[in-house]
Amino acid sequence: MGDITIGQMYPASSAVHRLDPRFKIVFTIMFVVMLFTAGSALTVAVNAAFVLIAYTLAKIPLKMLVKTLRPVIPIVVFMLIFNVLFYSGETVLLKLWIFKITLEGLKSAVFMVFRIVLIVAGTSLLTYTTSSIELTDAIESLLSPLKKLKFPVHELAMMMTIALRFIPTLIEETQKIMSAQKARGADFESGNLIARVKALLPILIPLFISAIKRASELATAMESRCYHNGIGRTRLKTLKSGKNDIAALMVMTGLLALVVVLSMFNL
Amino acid sequence: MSIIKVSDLTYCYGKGTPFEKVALDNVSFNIEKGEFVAIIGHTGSGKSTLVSHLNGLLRADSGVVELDGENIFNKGYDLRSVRFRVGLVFQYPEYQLFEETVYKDIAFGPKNMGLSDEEVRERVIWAAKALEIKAELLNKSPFELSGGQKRRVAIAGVIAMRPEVLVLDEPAAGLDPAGRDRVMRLITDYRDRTGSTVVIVSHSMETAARYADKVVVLNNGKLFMCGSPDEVFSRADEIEKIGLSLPPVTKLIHSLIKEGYDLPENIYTAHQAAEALLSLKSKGGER
Repeated sequence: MGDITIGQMYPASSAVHRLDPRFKIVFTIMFVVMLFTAGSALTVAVNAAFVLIAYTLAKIPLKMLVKTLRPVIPIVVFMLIFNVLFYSGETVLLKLWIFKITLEGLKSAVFMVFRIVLIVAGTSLLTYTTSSIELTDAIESLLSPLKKLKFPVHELAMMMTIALRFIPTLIEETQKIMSAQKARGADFESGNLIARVKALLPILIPLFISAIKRASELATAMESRCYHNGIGRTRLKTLKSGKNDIAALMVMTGLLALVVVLSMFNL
Repeated sequence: MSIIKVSDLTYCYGKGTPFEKVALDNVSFNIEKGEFVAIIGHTGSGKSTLVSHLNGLLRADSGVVELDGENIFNKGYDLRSVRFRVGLVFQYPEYQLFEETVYKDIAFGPKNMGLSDEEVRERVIWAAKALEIKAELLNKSPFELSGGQKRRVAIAGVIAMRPEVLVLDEPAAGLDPAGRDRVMRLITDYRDRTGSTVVIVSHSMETAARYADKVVVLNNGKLFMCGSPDEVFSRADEIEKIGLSLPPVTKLIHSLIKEGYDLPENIYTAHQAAEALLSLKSKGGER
């Protein structure tokens, strides 16, 4: 439980941390596009280099990156096995019972692994370098054109802020309740699947009750401070973009163009 | 012989992350069988972290917790059995209630111990009685109860395991004065009847002074003082320096002593103060 790193900011003072969060969201989308256009060893390598350089610039230790990737390992292994065994290719390397291991299958498996690892690493960088408040502010700002269509952008952003804000609180609460039930001899580690699911009940019920209670208390607190929807609200911190953001945008566009051109020529 | 012996306990939260924080730093003390121990310290001093080690919920980075002379962190030591022997009641324990009925909730611990239905039943009724939970409440949902009732049900849930050592983290927090006195009275009654060892975590010096045989003072994760209430409170200056304050009555008496009145130093309750002042008066005591 204590090892959950997704969605947690890694505080450091770096150029990446200081970028405008709106740009960072756009960059992340560009990165995902770039990663999925990449179909060759060269273009995947460009992506991998980009991720490594971005982590270095953000001053995030490699240890954090490893920690982020740990939960993905089962998925990677699963994909690896499936691609190797079930990919229908021409060049058969090995034949085992009904399975054929082909060169194409191996290739596709390796690409898949790289893609998963890179997409998790790359997108995690956004949350490592951006606080959840900045992130939702940025989303609100990026979606603001939708306001014209009467889409409740502010409300959506507020809901996201609240949800993100309470993730650590809920984790803490879960740990507390788990400890309390462990102190009464609850056993979460042994037994078969059904026994383990049953053992979760003493955690889930108190957790739901306190979450609902917290939600209604928060609603009361907001209402008593006269919260109403976004119309006419001003901000303590307004988002500003600068030279660095423009420079980063140029680099990103260049990279994306490079990868697209390279893949057009099947390089 | 000490029932619990804590030696050189060190624990760090979030090791290896930028949020690393030392919560316990080389803490050592003993708890004797049948003793009433109060662990005091201000918020963030490491009290709750310390008690989570007593039943092995947290594993120390270094140091030893011995229960009856055996290190509970040894390989192969059954930590689950420690939880039944050292019953830990968390802060605001009412949030851990989950069963459909009060009865079932109190029975959760004893059931986990693997007792027969008959024994479970006997223990639930015994624990409910010890905490003055009326029989008709046993079939109600715990969520229908008042805050004070819930608190007593949660404590009963731990007492029902009949632990040799009962550890309570701020058992009176958030209760009104009447509820607080009641919980404290029930705990002392329980201890008098069963002779079990009791450890209480509190930031109230009054509670410590009034009930404890031994007071353990923590400050910033370090053991600051350990001794009888008289020993600890005679060092009032040091205690106030770390941001804890003596019970108001004790402060009053101390300033009277400074004024030259012949009064004993170890006065912690209004009742004791009244007696001391009356006896001073009957002696015709002047300065």
